[in-house]
Amino acid sequence: MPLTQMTGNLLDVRDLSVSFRLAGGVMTAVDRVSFTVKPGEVLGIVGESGSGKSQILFSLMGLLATNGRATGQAMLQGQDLLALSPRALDGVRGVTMSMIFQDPMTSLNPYKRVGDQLAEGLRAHKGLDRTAAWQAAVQMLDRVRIPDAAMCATRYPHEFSGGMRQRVMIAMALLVRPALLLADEPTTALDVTIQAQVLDLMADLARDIGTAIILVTHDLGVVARLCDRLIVLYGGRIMEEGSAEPLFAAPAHPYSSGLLHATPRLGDGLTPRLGTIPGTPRSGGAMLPGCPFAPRCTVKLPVCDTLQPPLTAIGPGRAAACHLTGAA
Amino acid sequence: MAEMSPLALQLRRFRANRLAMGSVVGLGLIVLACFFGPYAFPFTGEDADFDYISAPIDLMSPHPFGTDEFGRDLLVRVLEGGQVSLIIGFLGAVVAGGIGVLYGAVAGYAGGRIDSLMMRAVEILYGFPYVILVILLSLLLGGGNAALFAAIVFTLWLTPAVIVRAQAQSLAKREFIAAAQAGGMTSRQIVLEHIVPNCMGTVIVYGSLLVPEVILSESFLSFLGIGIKEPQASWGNLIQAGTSEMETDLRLLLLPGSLLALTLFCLNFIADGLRDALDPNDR
Repeated sequence: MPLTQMTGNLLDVRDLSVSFRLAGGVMTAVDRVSFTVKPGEVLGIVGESGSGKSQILFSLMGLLATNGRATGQAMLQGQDLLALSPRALDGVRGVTMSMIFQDPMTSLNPYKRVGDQLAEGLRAHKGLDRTAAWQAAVQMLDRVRIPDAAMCATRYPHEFSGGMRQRVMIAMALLVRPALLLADEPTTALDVTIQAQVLDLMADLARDIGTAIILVTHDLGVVARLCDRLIVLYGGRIMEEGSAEPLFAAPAHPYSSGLLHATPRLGDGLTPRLGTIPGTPRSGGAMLPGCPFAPRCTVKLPVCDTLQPPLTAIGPGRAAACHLTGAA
Repeated sequence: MAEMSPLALQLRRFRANRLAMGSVVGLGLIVLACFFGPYAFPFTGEDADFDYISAPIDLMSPHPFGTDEFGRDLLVRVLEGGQVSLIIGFLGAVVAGGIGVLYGAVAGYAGGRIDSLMMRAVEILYGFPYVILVILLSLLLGGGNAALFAAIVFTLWLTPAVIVRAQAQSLAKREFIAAAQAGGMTSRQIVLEHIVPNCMGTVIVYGSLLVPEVILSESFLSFLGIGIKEPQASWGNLIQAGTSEMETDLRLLLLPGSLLALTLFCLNFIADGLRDALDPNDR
């Protein structure tokens, strides 16, 4: 991996745009987004539904719907993921990067034993034989704390609970020891009580293996727990990015602070009402000429409607796209 | 209840269905009789016995169900004809079903233009008149059992292809398929290891309906004289031979006819039971 060491980045995404052909025209879901992921780093992408956060992951994985198109560049270990042939992509997916999906109930094939599904990837990509792959699968199930892993591997998905299935998915994704793990809201479908448990497990295992994670979520609590760095996405554009702690302490973009105020904090007591952001998220249609958040912004300037604020550095490793901070 | 695959659970539901299980036993008996019954007689279905020409039913004689106009034992001929009909039925269903499943799974998973092309081809084949197609094919293949078999398979793989394609289409949108793609599985692996096994329930149900369909079309074609040819017996041509004598001697029609009807009843009850057991909407 000479190239990675040169730039120090595992993944280098530049001007990634994702658009969908629809009956009424072209809908841009992600608009010229650039970011990097360092080896072993946990990057969080936060935003409301429809902000384009999942589409970023799908475009990297080559899993966009058939009417979707991704442009730009996404260099993973010297290969541009967006330019790879389907065959070459099969050699990267499940080898150097893998993915965990939102809903563990539908992410497993109901007709295959859990162990076989886990072993499948190892046999396809690492050339392991049936027994060796099975043993590795059982070991991994044990590491994600599935009780009595050897017996559970012979079972079928419908015999597992949601939390167990998501742990199986984590085991499956990390079994091939990928350099990059894409996690698409991995805990939204789970009980609140086990969300934290599953997330910690995922992060711990990734750390052991040295896997970097891109964690897509709308749950700020999840981000605060796990992420080194954070991207706040709205309307397909990056609103703000930076290290997690300073961003939480002093959000620079009105949207980020709106999101934070809408999140309950321990110790606030019961009286204060949770903050809300007025209006509803942009849904489809053409890109606005100005800031995508302008229609809902409480501190909007006249210029916000006409001119799109560029993403400008506002501190070490921090940037925001807002006329207010850019002017300051 | 460890290690029950969804299929095993469904088979257990099937076993609780008395009518269907009775039909399995009945069908098993018919199959056993057809394949081993003729060994109980010292002659074959093609041996003529000139002492007993057109003999009536007489359970004490060497020919308990009598003979036909050539002195051939009717019971043995019906059993031997059953072998042909059953073999063609099951083999035809397996081959036609297999082709249809693969074709449909590929079309449904691939989607888009490939899917459109593949399914338009199926629709064109659907448009051909069945009997004419069979006659053309038997001319092309020089007649005989192989041509008949090819013609039956050629016309009957279409419906399973359409059914499986619809299933594969909805499966292709399920997340575990995306998960398999994200795991770097090739399209071929996904079709064979994820799409096809998940269609198995539907395929089994449809396959069990396909068997009687194949037997019936074999009988139908033999009845028309373009199927199995004399002196080889099949239920179809035995029934055909029986109809020419039905005004004087019903027995030549009734024995092969009732065995065919019994077999079809059993198969349909089994298909029904399988559908009840496998269809998730009908629980």
